[in-house]
Parts: sequence; structure tokens; C-alpha cells
Amino acid sequence: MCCQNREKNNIYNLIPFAPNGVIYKRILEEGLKHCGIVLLVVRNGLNLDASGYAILEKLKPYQLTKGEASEWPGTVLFDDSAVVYRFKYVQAVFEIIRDAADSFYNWEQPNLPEDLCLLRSNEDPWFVTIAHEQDCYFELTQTEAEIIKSSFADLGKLILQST
Amino acid sequence: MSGYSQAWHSAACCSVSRHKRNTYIWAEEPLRWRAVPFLRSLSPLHLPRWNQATIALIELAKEAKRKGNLSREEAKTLIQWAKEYGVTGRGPEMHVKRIFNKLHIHIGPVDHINVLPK
Repeated sequence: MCCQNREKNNIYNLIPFAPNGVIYKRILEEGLKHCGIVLLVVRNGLNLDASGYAILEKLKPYQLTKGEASEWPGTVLFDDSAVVYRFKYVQAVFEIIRDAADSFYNWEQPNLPEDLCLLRSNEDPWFVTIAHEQDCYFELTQTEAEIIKSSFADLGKLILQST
Repeated sequence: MSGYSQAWHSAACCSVSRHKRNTYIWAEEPLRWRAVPFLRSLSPLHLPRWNQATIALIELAKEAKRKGNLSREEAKTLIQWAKEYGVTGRGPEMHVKRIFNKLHIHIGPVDHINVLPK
């Protein structure tokens, strides 16, 4: 019954197509209030540099799961799989991620693991990136979107519901 | 080697010979143009060294994008060649809720090469 009452998540696109600098940090910071999990992907066919492995090593104490998957928020792979990492999204992880890059689109192999996604504690996506497509979006209920738009003028004016 | 792969291999050889002809023309270009491959080889970026095989692969990818009827097997072959030649290859993949929601691959600089679902 409770699931029937749950508000549906809608897709909200980000107006600036390069979410970098202040916007990058602002979204990560806002995500701390809504999300419990951060997801990263390492594609099997692509190299990962030492800098990428170093980040995974830093995040290791907060690792929840690591496993092969052919599907994660934003992407479905056919005839292939990737290693999907889930980490607990806490202040320390926020700081590591904030300092590791200046844009969501920097999270791309070989420099860093790919497709940084912020997930709610029940694993529903809140913010999804597809770095190699230079694409990102929010999945928010209408209430969440209204709260963000009204409370955070800087971030609220940057998101627009997908038609 | 499957029939498709054989056909592609011969196509790749044609592209290589076409490129070879171009290199002779290139040698007559001003020195500043001839310096480009040398400078690229010094680049700290993760660019593949564009040898004849990679150029042939990119040509095949462009051709596949133009035709738009790549089978899953052909897509796998292209991705495998990309791995062998050190070119970035992704897919087959799709991004369900987004504009790129059709099955596709990426080969180096050639993005969104459509792949037939079956």
C-alpha cells in the first residue's frame, strides 16, 4: 500500500551542460542531505590509471559493495559487463570526491572511475551522470524538486523538468 | 574469421592503402603540417598513436555510422579491434532514459554508431 502512495520520480535536466566548479560542489553537497550511496563504475575494456586506483583505495573504507554488472543508473551494457562500486556517502566520501575532480564529466576512464551517481539509501537514483556522453540528470519527486527550487535559488534555477 | 570479418579486413586494407597514398601527398605539404604527427607523439594526453591500423579502424567506424546497420557481431569485432589498437571503444550500450536510448557503440572519436538489436 505504501508503495502506491509513493510519489513518482521525474527526470530533471541540468541547464548548464558542463556541471563543473561551484555547481559540481553544490550538487555533491546537496546530495549529502538526500543520498546514502555513491556509485562508481570501472569498465572492463578500458584502462584505469594510477590516479583512478588511488581514489578507489581512498574510498575503500566506505565500500558497501563491489560486483560485476551490466546495468547501472543511466547505462545498460550488452555483451559486456563492468565493475560497479557502491560506497557509503558520508562527509569524508564527499570530501574525497569533491577534491578529486572539478566536474562530473571528469569522472571518466582512464583518469578516474566513471559515471558517478548519487543514490538514495533505498538505491533509487537521485543524481545520475553518463560521463562519456557528457550527460547528467536528477531523478526527483515533484516535492523534492520544489524544495530544491525554492530553498536553493542557485541550484534550483539550474534544473528543468524533462518533457 | 567469419565472412563479415573477412570483408571488413579487406576494407581495412583498402583504407590503409588509401592512407598510404595520402602520406605521399602529405610529405609535400609545408613543414608545419608535417610536424603535427611528431607533436602528437609527444603529447602527454592518452591519445593513441595514429598508425595505419587505427586510421583504418576509424574509417570503418565512420562507414558503419553512415550505414547505421551494424550487427551485434560486427559491433563486437570493432570493439575488439579498438582494444587491440589502443583506441577507446565502448558498448554495445544504451542509455534508457536519455536521448541516446538506442543500442550503439563508440569507437575513438566516432560516437553513437547504431547497432541492430538482433
